[in-house]
Amino acid sequence: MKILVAEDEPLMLMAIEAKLRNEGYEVAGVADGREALKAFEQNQPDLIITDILMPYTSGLEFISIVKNSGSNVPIIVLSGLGEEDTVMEAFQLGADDFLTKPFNPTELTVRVKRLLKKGRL
Amino acid sequence: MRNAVQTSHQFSQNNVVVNLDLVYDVAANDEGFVQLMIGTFLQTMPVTMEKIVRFAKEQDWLNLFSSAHFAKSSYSIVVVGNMLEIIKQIEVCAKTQTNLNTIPSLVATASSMYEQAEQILRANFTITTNSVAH
Repeated sequence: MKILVAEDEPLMLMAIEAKLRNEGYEVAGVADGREALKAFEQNQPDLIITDILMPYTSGLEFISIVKNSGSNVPIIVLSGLGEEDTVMEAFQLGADDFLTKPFNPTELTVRVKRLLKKGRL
Repeated sequence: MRNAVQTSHQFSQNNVVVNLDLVYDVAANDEGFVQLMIGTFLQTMPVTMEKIVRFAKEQDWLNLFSSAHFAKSSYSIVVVGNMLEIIKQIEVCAKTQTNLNTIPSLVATASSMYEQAEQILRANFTITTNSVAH
């Protein structure tokens, strides 16, 4: 299973990538929205995890482009506390779930497994 | 290093505690990867802290909010005392432009805590340029 992670904060990106690799997933990590779009087109991931505030192309724009391309790939949004309005906007654009920062590795893997299982049904 | 104490994945000095439990968790106790993560933290955080100090001084609230928001993610992984709470307060004050009078002391505390955390990490980990992720 291939997972694309888009997150501009390097340590957070490393942590998410490492946790998912330890769980056996193939992970492509990118640091901005423009790279995320490229990676999406090239890798056809089974799941996307994206931050909202990113350089070049925001997470919301990225979600919009992915969903408008006709893709049904599930998307998890990374958000900070107090960003409820943005998360709602992400859901309206087609995001499937969200993860709040601070980072919780257990929550991450549970939500990833759940969405991937749902996608296979 | 004065009063250095190591307990599990916690390192402390002069009342500042650096907790690396989450780092070791995601690294699955791979010391090489832990060093890579610490190296990345020590490479990126000085720049971010410098921005926080500068934007607070310049009362550039939008950029202060962005820098605090950026730092928040790192401090949720490399846990330095109550730094995450302090950074969140700076972020909220800058975003909402409320309680702006509290920002200078919050920034001073954060800056001082980071300096101590950096000393702790450098004293306990061998960081080379090769251990820094690009």
